[in-house]
Parts: sequence; structure tokens; C-alpha cells
Amino acid sequence: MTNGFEPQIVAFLCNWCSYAGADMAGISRIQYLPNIRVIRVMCSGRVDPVFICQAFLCGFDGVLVLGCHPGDCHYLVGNYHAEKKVNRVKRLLDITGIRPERLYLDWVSAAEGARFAQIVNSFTERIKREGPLDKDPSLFQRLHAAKLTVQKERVRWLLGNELDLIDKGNVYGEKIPFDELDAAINEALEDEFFNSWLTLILEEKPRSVREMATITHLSLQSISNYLTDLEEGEKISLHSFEGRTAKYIKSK
Amino acid sequence: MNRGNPNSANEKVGAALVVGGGIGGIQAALDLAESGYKVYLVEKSPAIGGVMAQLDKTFPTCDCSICILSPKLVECGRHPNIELLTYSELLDVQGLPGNFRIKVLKRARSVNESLCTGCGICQQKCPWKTESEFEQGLVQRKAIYIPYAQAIPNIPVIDREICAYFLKGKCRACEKFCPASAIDFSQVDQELEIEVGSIILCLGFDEFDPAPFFNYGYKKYPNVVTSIEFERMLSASGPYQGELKRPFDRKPPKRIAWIQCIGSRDISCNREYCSSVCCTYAIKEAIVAKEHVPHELEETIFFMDMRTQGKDFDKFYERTKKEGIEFVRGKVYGVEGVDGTGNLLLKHISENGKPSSHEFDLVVLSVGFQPSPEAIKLAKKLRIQLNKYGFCYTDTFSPVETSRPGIFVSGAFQGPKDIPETVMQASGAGAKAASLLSPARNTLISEKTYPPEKEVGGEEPRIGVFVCHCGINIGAVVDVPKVVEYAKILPNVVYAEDNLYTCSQDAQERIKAMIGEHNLNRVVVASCTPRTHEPLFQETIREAGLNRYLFEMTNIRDQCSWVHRDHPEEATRKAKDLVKMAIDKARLIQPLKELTIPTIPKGLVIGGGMAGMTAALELANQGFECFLIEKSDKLGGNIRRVHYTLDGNDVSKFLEETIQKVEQNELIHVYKNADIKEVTGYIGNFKTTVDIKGEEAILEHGVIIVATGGREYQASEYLYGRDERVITQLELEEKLATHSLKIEELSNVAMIQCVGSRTEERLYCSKVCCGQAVKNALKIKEINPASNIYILYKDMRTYGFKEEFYQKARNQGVIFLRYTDESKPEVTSDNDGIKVKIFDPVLGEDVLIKPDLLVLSAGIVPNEDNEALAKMLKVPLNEDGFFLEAHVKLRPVEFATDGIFVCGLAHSPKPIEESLSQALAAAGKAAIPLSKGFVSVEPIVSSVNEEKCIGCGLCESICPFSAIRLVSKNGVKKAATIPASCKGCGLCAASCPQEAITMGHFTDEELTAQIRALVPA
Repeated sequence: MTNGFEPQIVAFLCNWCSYAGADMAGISRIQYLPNIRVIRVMCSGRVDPVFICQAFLCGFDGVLVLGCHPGDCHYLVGNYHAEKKVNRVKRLLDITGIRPERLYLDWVSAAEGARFAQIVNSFTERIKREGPLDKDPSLFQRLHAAKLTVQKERVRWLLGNELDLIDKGNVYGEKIPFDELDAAINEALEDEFFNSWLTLILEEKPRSVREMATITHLSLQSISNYLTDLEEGEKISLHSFEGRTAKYIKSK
Repeated sequence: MNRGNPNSANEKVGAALVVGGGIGGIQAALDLAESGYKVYLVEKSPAIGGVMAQLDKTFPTCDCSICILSPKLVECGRHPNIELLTYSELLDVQGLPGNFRIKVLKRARSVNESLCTGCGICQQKCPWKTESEFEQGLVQRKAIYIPYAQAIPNIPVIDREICAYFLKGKCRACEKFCPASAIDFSQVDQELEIEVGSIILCLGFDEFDPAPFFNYGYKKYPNVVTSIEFERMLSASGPYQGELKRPFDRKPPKRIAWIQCIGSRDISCNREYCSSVCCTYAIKEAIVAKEHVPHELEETIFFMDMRTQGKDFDKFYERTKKEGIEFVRGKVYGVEGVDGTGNLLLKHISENGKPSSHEFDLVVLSVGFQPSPEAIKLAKKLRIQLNKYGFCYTDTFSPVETSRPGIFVSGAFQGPKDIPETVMQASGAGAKAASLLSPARNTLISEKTYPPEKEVGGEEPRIGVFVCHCGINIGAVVDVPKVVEYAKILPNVVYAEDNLYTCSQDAQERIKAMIGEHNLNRVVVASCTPRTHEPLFQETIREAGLNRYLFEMTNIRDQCSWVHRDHPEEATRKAKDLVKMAIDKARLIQPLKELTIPTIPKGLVIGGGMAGMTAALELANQGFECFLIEKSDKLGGNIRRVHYTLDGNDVSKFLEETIQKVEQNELIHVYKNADIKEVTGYIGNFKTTVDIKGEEAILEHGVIIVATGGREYQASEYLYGRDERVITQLELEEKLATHSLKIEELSNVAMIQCVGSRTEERLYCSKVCCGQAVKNALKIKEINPASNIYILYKDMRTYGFKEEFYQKARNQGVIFLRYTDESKPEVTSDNDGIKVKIFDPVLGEDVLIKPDLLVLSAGIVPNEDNEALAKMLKVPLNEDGFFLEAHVKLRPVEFATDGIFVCGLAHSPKPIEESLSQALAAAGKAAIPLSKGFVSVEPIVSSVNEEKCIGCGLCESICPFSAIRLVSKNGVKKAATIPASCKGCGLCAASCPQEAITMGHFTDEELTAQIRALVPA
């Protein structure tokens, strides 16, 4: 897959460690592959999951997020939050149909020019092996759904709170076992993703449950359940009947 | 003419004089001006910058020298409290410390400084030429000239020695062509009388002139050049525009040799001392030269000892060896020309006395430092004590004070040293000058005024783009003109240009002019890293009436040209992409309002060793209260184990005196047995929790100085700990000081250097051990001249004036045997005693020593607490575990995090005098925000869209700094930022369930625009 393919990669670097590490690579004249385009942020914790989805939507073949080493974050815990968020976005990419390997988070200190170059090289090589991101409209639609997913209040609440829910517990001081929380967050991601996707599908034209099942590979039962939710939320509505088959459409 | 305020004799004057406009003088001037004093900076040449401006790169990072210097030049030139007196000389000093009356001769420039725009037309039109001093005579300059492209002030001067008008009364070409009518032939020299409170001498050095030493062929063969000439040959703005060519035939050399110790360590020319920097600069030049040519370059450095003792220099040396640069030990005794070829034959004697000769295309003489005759003359006039070579004499324990009170010294005039040490000493001297004058602080300064900010809200973006060649640093790889052409056609870009150095003073003027001419309301610079250069450009656009945050920068050097050297097309494409991303962001950026918050005028010093105590005393001398935290039950730290210095000073006495001063000072609060538990806050407003013998105290202060020291390496090699006849240098010193060793009975003593230093595990030099070994060896010889002392070393690193003591030890019969990593000494012991086997490269065979005492020169290792403290302070450590400063050259005592400073062994191993200078420097730097009374806070803070916010409180619960909280607004809870506490991480923005929070200068829209920038339209 690597023949002649030059991936486009966007890298979010935090100002204090990883951006400085990239400077160190420069100062040390360490040569690395030229595929990354750097966006400087003050902290890796600034990297909103929306940005990552947006990057794939813009056609980047890979997204790199680099922060300070654990314990070194200039903002104390921004990098831990970044790690949680990136892991969840990986899960979401998986649901979306993008290999989570296209997203990578790591730590680079201000002194680690060589490490920066090595991470960039190995990630670039990895993306070369992964090949170009599929440019078909269906993936574009799913990515769009993924972006909408991470803009949902419920998902953002969970993603924003994950670290604290594990470390400090909920408002009642109950610490939630990781497995339970993990399952709950993944469920929320999946629900919101399919809700968003179905809405996008119904935005194009009226469709039946069976047609939606063919597109999404979900069971008829699951589709019905999502539709019930969406109808309740007035996101979609019944459009018409073709024979005995009901067709739905996105609400205006 | 009379300047300064009229003072009665006993009142102190709130102004200082800095003599010498090199990097040391610039630093001292900036520090003093920033801490509330008026500064007169006198420089004899027409522009400031000194030798650093001539260097191509700096070691060990190979940073572009002028690039890192230029922002300082500009800052100095535009500082409202610094008056530059260039082309001037100090004539006389009268009066007493605190109240000097000085006379300065301001020579006639023949150009009206207030009319000249620095356009340079006069230089082009002038027909008269002479050798350019700045270019080391490799090319010519005109009779009217600006010494170099980035010169500050950017105003020419007429050299009356060669100007035809002054010689013959004819020509006046410059006057004819000057568009500003700035030429003024009638100017005369002026004598200025100025009152200042203190004086700092930063007189720099001259390079040793090898011409009188015929054996090196300098001036006889054109292809024998000095190292400073070679710097100019490498420089993109130099005589060959950065192309590496031989002076003889302008052909690229394929074989280059460096000869070390030219005018250093050489008794035959009365220069016994080591110039300390030449080994590392030769390595740097060799590495940089390789980058300049596409072909293979054979490079050889001929040396005696490799003295790369500075922080991270040994790593640099090891890296160089891997790059194929050859290092040959021994002595070059002659250079001869090879007929007609321009080539040179080097005559060499190896360590074991074998002669050989080698042919090269180009020979670089690594010339040493010497004080300039003018400096010596001035010092004599000022009645300042010099050492026997003419450098300024200072006492070990007061490393920035001259023999005349109120006059301080820094930089190479005090002894050969590199840039960071010069900068440290300059800041240290600045601190001393400031504390002398502290009652008069803020009495003679003026505030900088800016034009009102232009209202740009609602205006269509009009973006100006400036793309930097950085000499050849960017331009040699990235096709800069193409990037400019590309930028020009992007939407909203109304102007784009390329600059040789966008950071130079004339480029700042260009940017300002273009802002005016094209009515720009956004500026983008594509050059190096915003981490070092953003403030410079922000200041420039502010001076042009734009808000500082209407600026965006992208890094096409560190991220393109330097890291994709062999792929110019890719690098150019990437540069275009990065520029487009910056422009797309710039279109959306908005002005931000800056905040100032008051500082708590107190300091916290962590570590009660010599460095910490010195820093605390200096802060107190400047009038600030401070807390001194010591984890043990005693002040003093490592120095408690040192009793005397190489030059015979009594350390114990000095220590006792210092402890007494600290403990008696009312402004210093000493906490012993104290442990730092937590540090919160930011510059100006830190809060530190300290555990003092089980009781917690909370201290509030504005700055932090880290002086936690280091410790002796715990040896496990060479039978240490298993045989009591094996001890460390510190243990030996203790025994010598307490007379608990029968020196008279010792017949053989062996010392092994580099124990725990310069090993694979710790690839750094501990800097003090060679001096320590020589010191203790001389002490033993003094008591028992008949004893045999063997010092087993890798390189003897008795740099600077310590070299004299090394020679003295040799003369007194101390035997020096060199070993290598491949042939380390083997130490065994049995009933018969200790046996040390070592291969002697001079004899070419193994030597067996049976010492009565084996002394290990154990190195210095970082404190084990460094890691925890670094985490608490959020400052970095280097690979070896020492604290990593903000910039290795120009910010040696600061961290990237504002308000935190470092000194002493916590920074890196170093001898006492260097620790003391660094401690003074850290205190001087720390005093700046304290004396200002406020700090400006970056307005990169969060802001809440109250319409979107539903008051869920997620931001409040996750903010690491409690900088956002829910407040009731009309009965509804809404999030609100506390700007002074917000550090700008953006975690809340990335997490807000309603996407109701955004960050100044890093808004969702701005970052999204960067992500979208590369989508084909």
C-alpha cells in the first residue's frame, strides 16, 4: 500500500513540551518525514474531539496529538484529559468505520527532539501502510455523523467528565467502577452516532426502515428503536407510505 | 552638555553606565533598564552586537547566532530607558559609588541620527573602500557604512580616515544621494558629562593575532584563516554569502583542518591560560561546515585536550565523532604551503612523539581570547586591578566586582568564557549594580508610550505576510520567493514580501511601514519558532498601532528547512501549507485586551547552599523580602565539604561569613528542615506550602529561585566502598583540611578522573573535578614534595586561568597519564596493597602503579528530588536530570515558565565562582517583576458565551486552576472566567457540553480554519 502514497497528517502540538520538542528536532537538525502539518495549541487538553473528526472530514489521513509526559503538563492535568478524549475518539472512529490506528496520541518533552522525529516517522509509516483515507461519500457521511456525535451534550458531558468520574467520583462521591463507566460511555457514543447517522441518511431523502438497515448494517429492531427516540425528539418524522412501507424523513 | 539629575553628593543616582555593547553589555543594560534604572550604553564601534553578531552559529545547538541575538538588539535599541551611545568612548570617571560623574566622548558620525532612515543608499553610492572590520577584512566596505545588516542603530557612519571629502575636500556623493538630507560633514566630536550611580565594564576580548607567529603561515598563505574569519565565511550574510569557499581560489575545500590552542596554553606567547571556548567552537564549525557543502568533507581537529566542559557540550562532542569528524591529539608545529595549489601541509607531532605531515585545502586556526589594548588602557585609567595577562581581576567569591567599588565587570574581559556564562555574569553584574542603587530605583526612568490601538473590529481583514530567509537557514532549502508568490494570491492578503532576516531592526521598520502603507490589520510572519520570536513581532505591530494579538506566526525553519534538508520541494510545499494555515487563522484573529496584576514583592529561594544563600542575599540587598527553604538542618550545602579553592582562598571562612549575613538579614526568613509540599499560582502570585518539622506553613511570594544543588556521585567502581584506601576527592580534601591524614608518609598517590562523569550513562562533564585533582595534588606536594602523584585522566579540563595550576602541577612533578574509554584503569587490591594498571599512550605500554591512596574524582549528579520539584513547578529537566533553562545561550537562569529561575548545581555542574555569578543573575532577573510591582498576563484566556451556557458546572469541576466558576446572573447560573487565574490551557473549551466556551487566540473557529486550510477549494 505504500507505493507512492504520501499521506497528509495533521499534528496538534502543545506549546510547552511537544512544540518545543519539534523545535529541538529542528535545532538538532534531525531529519524526518515531511508529511505532518502542525497546529500549535497551548495544551493537548485543548484538542476538542470535534477537531479530530473535522480533520478526517477535511481529508487528513492521520491525526497526531502530542502532549507533555504524564506529570509534566504545564496545566497539571490537560494531557490526562487529552488521553481520555483521544481514546474515546478512537472508539468512535472504530464505530464510524475508520481504523483507530489513524489517530495517535503520545508524549514528547521539550528536550526530546529525537523522540519527536521518531514518533512522526513511525506514525507516517503507519499511515502509509494504512493507505489513503477512503474518499467515498458514505464514509464522509459517517464522519459527519461522528463529528455530530462529539458535539452532543450527553457525549461531551461524559468525555469531559471521564477523568474526574474515575478519580473523584460523581456528585454523590461514588467512584464509578471503570468497566461500568467504560460501557456507559461506549454505549452513549454508539447511540449518538447512529442517531446522527440516521438523521443524515433521512436528510437526503425519505427512507424505509429496511433501506436504512441496508445502509447501516443495523438490525431492523435497532433501527426501530433509534427511530422511536428520534421521533420523540422531533428530529425525524413520518414522511409517507409506499404501499404498506412507512418512509421517514428528517424533520424540518 | 550635562545629563542625569543634579544630585547632592550623598544621594544615589538611579542610572547606570554599561561600557561595551556586546551580548554581555546588552544583557546588563536590558536587565537594569527593566528593573527601574536609566542606562547609558557606551559602545566604541558604530553599532552594538559585538562578536556574537559576527558568529554564524552558536554551540551546542547550532542555533543561528544573529537570529537569537537580533531580538535583543532590537529590544535594546527601542527600550525607553536605554540610551545608546555608539561610536563613543568612556573618557573619565570621577566620584564615588552611587554617584559617579563620567565623561563620554561621542565621536562625530557625520550623519544626523534623527534624520537618517537607514536606507543604505549612501553606502551604495560611496566610491571609497577599505577592508571591512566586521567581515574580518575578507571583503571591503565603503567610507560611509553600516557595519552589518542587522546593526543597531541602523545608521551609517563616515570613516574620516578614508573619506575623500575629509581627505581632499571633494566627492560628497553620499550627501548628493541621501534622500533624507542626513549627511552632516560639519559634525564634531562631543564630550558628554553624565551622572550615574554604578558602572559595568563589558569590554569583551580581542582574538589572538597569529600573524607574528610565522610557523602557522597566517597572512602568508591565504587559505590559513582564523576561526572568526571562518565564522564569517560560513555566514549567509558573510563575504561568500554562506558558500564555503577557499579565499585563495574561491573553490570549495574538501579537506579542512582546525588547529587548537593558537594563542592559548602557550607560554611562548605569554598566554598560559586556556581560552575555554575554542574546542567547542571548532567542533561547531566542523559540523556547520558539513551542512554547507553537498560533497563529502574530510575534517580533522588537531588538539591537546578536548575541553568541552560546558552543559551538554560532551554530547555535542560525541555526536560530532559519529559524524565522521576526526580528532587527532598532539601538537601542530608548523604549516607550509604546497606550491601553486593553495593547499597546506601540517607538521604534526603525536602524543608519543611521532612526527607526521598531512595535506589540507583549508586550515582554520582556533585563536584564543586576549584583552584588547583599549580595554587595558581604560582599566588602568579607572585604576582597576588587572591580572597578569591584562584581564580584569576578580576575587573567586565576588566574581563580578572589580577592585574599585561601584564598578562591576562581566564577560570575556574578566576571563575567557562562552556566551551563556557571559550572559549570566552580565545579569549578575546588573544585579549588583542595581542593589547598590536600590534607594534610587525608578527615579530616572520613563514609561514607553504607544500609539493608540487602531479599531479593527468589523473591518475586512487586510493581511500582510513576511517570509524570512533566515540567512540561508530557511532560504537554502525552502524556495522563499515562491512561498511569497503563493501567499500573495490568497484571499485577504494585501501584501507579502521576503526578508533576509525578518527579525532584524530594518525588517521591523519595514513591517511598521507596510502596516501603514497598506493599512494592514493582521500580520503573519513565517520564520522560526514563536516560542522565541513572537514577542518581538508583537511589539513591532503594537508600535504600529495594532493590538499585539493581531499577529500569527508559523515556523518554516524548525519544521521545514532544518528537518527536511534533502527534500527542498517537499519543504517548500510544507512551508506553503503552513503559511496558508497561518493566514487562514489570521483572518479570524481578534484583538485581545491585556491584563496587569500586582505582584507580591517577595521571593522564595529553594535550597540553602551557596547559590541559594547568595541569591537570597542579593534579593534582600535589592530591598525584597525572601524565604529561604533548606531541607537539612544546616545552611551551606555541598560547599561545607570544600575548604579551599585552587587559587588558595579560604572557602570555610567565606561560608561562615555568608551564613552569618543570611541569618542576620532582616529581610531573609530562613526555614531549615523544610520541605516544599505544593506550589500553586503564577508569576507575581505564588503560594507555596512548606512542611517545617511537621508543621505546615503557607508562603506567598512573587518569584521562585531554584537552587537545590547537586551531589557527589556515589561511586561503586574502582573498589570504592570496599577498600578504605580508596576515597573521593571531597574525602581527601576533608582529610587534608583536618590534618587527619599523614601526608608525609604517602609515597604514591593515584587519582582517577571522570568517575561517574563522561560515561555512557552520564554523558556530561562535571567541570570541577580536574581543578579539584590539581588542587589536592598541589596540596599534597606542598606538604610532601617527595611523594609521587599520578593523575589518570581522559582530558585535563583546567580551562581558563586554572590552566596555570595544571602547568604548576606538571612542573612540580605530578605525573599525568591519559586513559581512554577503551583502556580504562584496572584497579585491584591484595595484601600487598592497591594496584592500578593503565596503558600509557606516550610510552605505548602498560604502567603499573602501587598507590598508598587511590583518590576518585567523583562527578556531580543531580539531586534525586529534582524530579518531584520539577513536576511541582512544571518546569523541565534535561536528559541528565538537571533543570533545563529556557534557552541555553541567552536565557541561562530562566525557565520558559515566567517567574521561576534557576542557579547553581541544580542547573549543571560548575565551580563556585560560576555558581555565585549564576545566583546573582537569578536574583537580578527575579528582582525585575518584583521591582515593577505588576506583571502583564497573557490574555489567552477562556470566555463564555452566556447564551449557550446552561450552567452545568463541568468547566468549574475540571479546571485545574479554579479559574472558571458558576456565578448567578439574574437568578440563572452561568460560567464566568477569572482572567487573572486562567492559564489558557483550553481544557474547558474542549470539554464544554454546550460548546459555549472558547479560548482567546485559539478559538474553535480559528483552529478549525487551520484544519480546513488545506482542503482544496
